[in-house]
Amino acid sequence: MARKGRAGPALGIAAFGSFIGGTLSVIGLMFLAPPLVEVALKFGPPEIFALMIFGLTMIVYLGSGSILKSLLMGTAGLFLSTVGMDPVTGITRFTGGNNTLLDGVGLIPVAMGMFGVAEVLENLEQTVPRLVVSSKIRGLLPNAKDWYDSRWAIVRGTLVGFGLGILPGGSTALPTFISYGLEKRCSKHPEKFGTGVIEGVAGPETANNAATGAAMIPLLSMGIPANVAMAVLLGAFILHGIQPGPLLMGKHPELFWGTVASMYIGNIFLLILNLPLIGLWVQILRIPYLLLFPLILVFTFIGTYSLNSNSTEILIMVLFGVIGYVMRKLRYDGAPFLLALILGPLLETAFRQSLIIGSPAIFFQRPISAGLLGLAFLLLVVGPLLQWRKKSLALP
Amino acid sequence: MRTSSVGGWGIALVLSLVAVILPRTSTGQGAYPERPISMVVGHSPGGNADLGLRLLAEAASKTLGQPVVVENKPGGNSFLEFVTVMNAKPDGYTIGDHSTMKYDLSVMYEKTPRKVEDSSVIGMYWAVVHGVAVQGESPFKTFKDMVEYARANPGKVTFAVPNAGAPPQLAMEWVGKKEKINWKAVPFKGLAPAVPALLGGHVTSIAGLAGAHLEQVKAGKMRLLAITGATRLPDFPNVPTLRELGYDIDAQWDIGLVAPKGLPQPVLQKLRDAFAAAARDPKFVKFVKDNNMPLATMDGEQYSKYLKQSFEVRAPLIRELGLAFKE
Repeated sequence: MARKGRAGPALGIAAFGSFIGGTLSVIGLMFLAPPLVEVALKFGPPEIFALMIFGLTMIVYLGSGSILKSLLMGTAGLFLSTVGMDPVTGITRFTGGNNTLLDGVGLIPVAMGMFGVAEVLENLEQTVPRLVVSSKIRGLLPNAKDWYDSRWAIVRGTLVGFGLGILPGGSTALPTFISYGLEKRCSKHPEKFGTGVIEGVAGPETANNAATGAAMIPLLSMGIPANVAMAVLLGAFILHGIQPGPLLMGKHPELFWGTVASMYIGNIFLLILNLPLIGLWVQILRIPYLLLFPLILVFTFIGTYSLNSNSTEILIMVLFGVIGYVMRKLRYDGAPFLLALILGPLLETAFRQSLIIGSPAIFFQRPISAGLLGLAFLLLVVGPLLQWRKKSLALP
Repeated sequence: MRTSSVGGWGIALVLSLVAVILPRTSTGQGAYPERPISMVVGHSPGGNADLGLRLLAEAASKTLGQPVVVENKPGGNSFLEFVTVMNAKPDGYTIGDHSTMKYDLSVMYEKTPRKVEDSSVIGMYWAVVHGVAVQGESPFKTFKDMVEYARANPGKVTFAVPNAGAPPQLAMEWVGKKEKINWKAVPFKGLAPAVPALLGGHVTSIAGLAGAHLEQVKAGKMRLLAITGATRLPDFPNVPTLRELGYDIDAQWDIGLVAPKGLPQPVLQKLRDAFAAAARDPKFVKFVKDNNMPLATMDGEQYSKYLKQSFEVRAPLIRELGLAFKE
């Protein structure tokens, strides 16, 4: 959308979508907490595994090219995610004795390489363009048509984010990617995704904020953190002498309502802080690329180094920058690769745990995991079938 | 336009080299500490171990005059942190959490287990006691109930452990061997994901941190069957220890701090003193007491001895259980 000069509305709808998703999920938190937690508890390792598989089949809808290429990228990402220590036995895999790789190939160096450095490399092969955006930057806020187009995306994003955020062991990556996939699936013009379709921004942004609100539910109603951020919050409660648990809402109602109130206020501030600054961020696009790209490179280098003060990670980033560049030339999409890299460890841990608990049949004996796996299978099969059918019907 | 792009690359190259090199040119050993100290914690944030260590870090920052910054590296069931610290420069700016468990893991993961002599031990600060718990609605009212059920149904009873190879897992495996029953450990990354697994009925029991489950037990959602430590806990007066149940084992998880081998003596002494003082900090003491954990401090020398002694006992136990490193 930035390329079409519509960076402003993109940022605007992201801010508004986030606000709506966040606020609605807090409302959901207020009224729906107890029954939802019961549902969330039904998600044990086999269900989490099935959910991850379902999330990964969203790859089918993430790639802008052929489904086969997306699946290839996803598989490559899964392989890369096995580098490092095995989650169950602790045996090191594919590290070649290098200590940096003990924790796996870092997500940030790879992401910054594939999407930051690679983009710069790709732009530099042409005669350096003067500006990223050659057309005039029109409008700073989403207009009426944008709102109209995004309305269902925001609703779906809220539901997806809220539903998935409450489940144990998730990250906000899953609802975000699933929302994008869902929007593409529900759209009347899926082939336009990637060229500046506002639903592709509205849905995921709403989803990730809705997920954040939903993640508070298991914490406040049962004392169980749904992800790392919640675990830190749990720690904060404990440090203040409050033990979160099922009795929290009864014993410390002021804590529960205080948290809810702070989330409402936080969402409002999100809007207040984001909207006025859109005009400012958009001006960055006016900087001549000649100055912009070295800045981009410097920021990626410093950013990666700032994580662990490890120069090997910079090498990793540059390596993936080159890989990303090659991928782009060959028209392979990086998003499925990254999603697989994020979900890989979660997937493997859930799989190994499930196999300790039962036999491989366990995934099909339990209703939720069987259902999710069936859905994933359908997605994998139906998508290509429809494509093939369209092609064969188009033949004279 | 071609020359401009070369110029651009030049700028980028120079700036990035600067960004990488600059942090390295720090001054030598002036008065230690001159800059923030990194405390690598091998446990997920928000867990008991992490919280206690953060409190120690905060208190020690005051004495040392430089912030002690916690960095979580929960990989490899806390073994990654151990390796990271052992490989760091012995300049006093990288320390990490320590326990007998690290040596247990070394026996399990490495061909040649590491020795206590290959590190600079700072001290021990508290211990975490584990307990075996089941769901509130579980049919098992005592530990023996679960043992008998496991005997009648081999392979069906599972227990969640917060870290693979952690002390409670060793205790349960030992009991399993003694009673000749086949029950299985399901490893999780920390206590947080293990609790929903238990409450949702996906695992039979949890061999977790007794103190952390107090609220759940009070609400009737969990029932504590046994304590894996040496003595009963004040908050759970009716729960027997494994020893009382007739098993000659206890598994307590000591938590201390360690630095890489070769740390200059004055730096080591400063760290030992700072953290010994930190362990007396009222916030830390309150946290440990509130969470049903025994406050047990040992200074560096004592702790080294304790670690060596534990190793003598635990290493053969791990080999006996068949958990040691296999090619």
